[in-house]
Amino acid sequence: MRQRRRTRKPTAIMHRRRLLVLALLGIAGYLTLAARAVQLQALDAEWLSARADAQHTTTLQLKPLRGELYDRNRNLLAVSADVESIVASPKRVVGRDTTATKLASALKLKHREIFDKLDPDRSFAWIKRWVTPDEADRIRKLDLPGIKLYPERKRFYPHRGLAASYLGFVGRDGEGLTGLELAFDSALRGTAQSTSVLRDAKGKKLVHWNRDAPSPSGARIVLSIDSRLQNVAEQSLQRAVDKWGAKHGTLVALDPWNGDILALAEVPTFNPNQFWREDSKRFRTRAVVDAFEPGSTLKPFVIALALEAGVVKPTDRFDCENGSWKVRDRIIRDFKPHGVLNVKDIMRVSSNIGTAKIADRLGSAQLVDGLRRQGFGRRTNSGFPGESPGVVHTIREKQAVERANLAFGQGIMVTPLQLAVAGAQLANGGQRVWPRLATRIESGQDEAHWPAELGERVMPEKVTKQVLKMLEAAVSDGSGKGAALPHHSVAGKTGTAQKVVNGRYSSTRYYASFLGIVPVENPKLVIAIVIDEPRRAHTGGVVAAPVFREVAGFAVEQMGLAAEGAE
Amino acid sequence: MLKRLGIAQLLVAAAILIGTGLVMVYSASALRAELRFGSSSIYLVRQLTGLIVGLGVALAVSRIPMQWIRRFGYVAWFGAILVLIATFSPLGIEANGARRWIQVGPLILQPLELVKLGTVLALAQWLAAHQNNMSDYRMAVGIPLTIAAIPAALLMLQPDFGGAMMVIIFSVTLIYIAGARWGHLIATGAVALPLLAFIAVQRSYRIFRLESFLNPWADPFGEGYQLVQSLIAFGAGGVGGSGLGAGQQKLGYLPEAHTDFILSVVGEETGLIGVVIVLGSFALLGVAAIAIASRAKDFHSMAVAVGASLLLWLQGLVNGGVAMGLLPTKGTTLPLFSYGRSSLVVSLIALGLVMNVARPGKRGRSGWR
Repeated sequence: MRQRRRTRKPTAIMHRRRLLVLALLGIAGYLTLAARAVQLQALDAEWLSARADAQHTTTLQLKPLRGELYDRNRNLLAVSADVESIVASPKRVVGRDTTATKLASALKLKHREIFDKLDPDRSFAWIKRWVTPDEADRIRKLDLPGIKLYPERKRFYPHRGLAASYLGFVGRDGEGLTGLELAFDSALRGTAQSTSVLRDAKGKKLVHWNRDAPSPSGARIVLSIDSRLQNVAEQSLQRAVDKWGAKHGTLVALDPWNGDILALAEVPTFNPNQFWREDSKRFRTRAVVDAFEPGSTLKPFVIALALEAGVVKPTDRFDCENGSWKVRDRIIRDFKPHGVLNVKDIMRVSSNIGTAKIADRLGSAQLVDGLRRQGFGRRTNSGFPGESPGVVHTIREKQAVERANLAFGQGIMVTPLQLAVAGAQLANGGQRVWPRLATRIESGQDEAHWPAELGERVMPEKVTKQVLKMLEAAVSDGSGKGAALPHHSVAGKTGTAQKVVNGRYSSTRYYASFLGIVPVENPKLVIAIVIDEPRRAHTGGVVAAPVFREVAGFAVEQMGLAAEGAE
Repeated sequence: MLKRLGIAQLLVAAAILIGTGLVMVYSASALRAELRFGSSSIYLVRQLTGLIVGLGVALAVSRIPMQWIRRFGYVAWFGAILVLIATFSPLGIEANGARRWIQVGPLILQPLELVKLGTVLALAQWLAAHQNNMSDYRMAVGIPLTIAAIPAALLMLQPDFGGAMMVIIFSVTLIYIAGARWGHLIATGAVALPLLAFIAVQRSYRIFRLESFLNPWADPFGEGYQLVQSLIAFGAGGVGGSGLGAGQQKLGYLPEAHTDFILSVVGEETGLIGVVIVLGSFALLGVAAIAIASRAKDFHSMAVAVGASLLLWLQGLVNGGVAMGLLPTKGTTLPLFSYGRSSLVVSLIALGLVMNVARPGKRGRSGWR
């Protein structure tokens, strides 16, 4: 048996039988694959293709280019542009030390700083944001592994410090941080469009950008500001701040007929193109967000209220007590002693005692309510971010000292903008002024205009005329002589307010202020000026009034503002 | 079943696979080629040069007298082993932690394909020469398995466990066809399979592949990534496919889209219909080749035809099984179809060998001229 088996030769039939088994196994194998294909492509297809869609598409945010800011004459004040930043994927960096050395020399950064950023445990690091085109080219040429250029956008302010705090600036990621950039942020940003696009496995978007297609862009905003006047205002303020060794200067210029903010200057200013290197104290637009004690610049409004209430006439006479008058336990003093003066002269020489006596006749309630009606103690609704309402306390009739103080601008906090608005209301015959930051917004084909309407009446026109006459005298022959212009009549009021330091009125630190209107007949321009802590002199007439003369003089003579007819 | 099939079905199936393969290679590689070389057709052009060379060689092989081939079986095996050893020399190229390629001038060659072919030819020579001793364990199983084990051991050193397995499976199939006794086969398997399993467990990365094969969704971005992406491709194609060229998975999601996972691209772009056509063509090719083998004039020719056919259809089966997650991940090309010139040329040589056997001989009824 064994012997026979051992010598058995495989027959052709056996070979064919085994081949058939092999063929059947092969067919069975392919049928199994086909069944699996049916399972994957018909039964599970929905679930699998959902996973496919999820990984193949990504949402592309088409972030519009931030809109430009223009001044009223279409001068460009702020514009956005594409720039590049240097980023690193430290995990992919080959040679941490040499990479840091090369980057340091190309970007003029410290080796140590870059070396620390290239920590291989991190997957992303900013090396330098918003590099110059030269720096970007140098990095491109180096072609270091793990170091890439990242497209970003940057806001440019071609006039650098001009109106810097007022315009504000934009953060690294394109968000308005302060000023008008913040006020109009959503309009400037525009609407981001998102679209679903294919991406490859590395997340690269497979979309061909059609450069001819108009990319969506944020709205262009035409501001009410006039950059010529702004420039003159900043220069003049800077000279005054330098001359008198002051800490700060603020100027607000308004068109009294439509509330347009023609200039809003803060000195010292800063360079918004590199805001991260600047002193953040300079970012404050103090004209709007900070309130101060106005001092005598408030007097015209107190006297207007008394005239309106009919408790005094311009010719009424008051005894100014030779510069020293006791109210309850307090002594009120004048800067210079005066005898008996009429209302007009009280305004002209800026007598505290005279104004206090006028306020006495008016009474606390009428005084406070009247000031509030004129816009003190509440926001002007300019829309500027962080606007301060100021402070106007309610005073009882018995509080004679507080009433007297309020009459000459103590115990009240106003913003320079409020002061300018109140001045504009005097100038336009007594109608409410809403400050206007911008005149129009252009978004694509659409345009929106800001209304330029005056509000309700807050003072009788007759009273405003009377007060303007008094203020004209205050400039031509009073405390505000420094503001007088050779060819145009100016109405104005000086202010010299002691600053409150540690709860007491300081005898060395002052706010010097001036509120001016030009020309007296058919006024075109209202300017409020506040100089913080002038040291070599401290009165509004000496420190602030000349700034008005320079700025208003430029406006009427170089810009021809007063020559235009009434609107 | 086998009687009605022959050279006509073999060539039709091969033509379908080669033609479809070219289209799919272009579709799967165009973006990659564009990104790497700035020309979307570079892989297609290379594949075409491989095809032209391969067709020439295949025609020549189909005309060579079978006695010559029989005489050179051991020589081919030995030559293939020398090339395989060359992967450990400076000629070898290491990629992904394995030395599976050699570079000679501009040509990059995968010796595995030559090894499979050489082993098939050597076994055909040996088994034909010892047809009278198929009851002898040493002659029927022992020495043939040694012929297979030498290249398989070298492949494991690369390491290429899958390639070694393919060589073993090919050899066992030929030993079975040659008429080895069932008892010998079972006894050998009882010893060898645990040994292979032990070797498989030895290398941790193979275990990872096994785990990711069993549940690829457990780690879809790590070990299971390739398989998950392949399955997603099949699913995304559905029944009708997304259209030629419209597949997304080849955009970097699916590694080796134009080589080992080209069937996934077929699945995504041509759907179930395309997959069934490709699988059906492979099955037809295999059955036709076995039919030709069954009519071979002697056992050597039969063994050559069967062995060569295994290079085509069995490897196609393994490739499809891997792509669809039925077999553990292992890089094998899809013969006649996927990108790769050494694979294509060797596949065409295998086709030429089957065609050679199909030529009219003493017993030939359905031969060709």
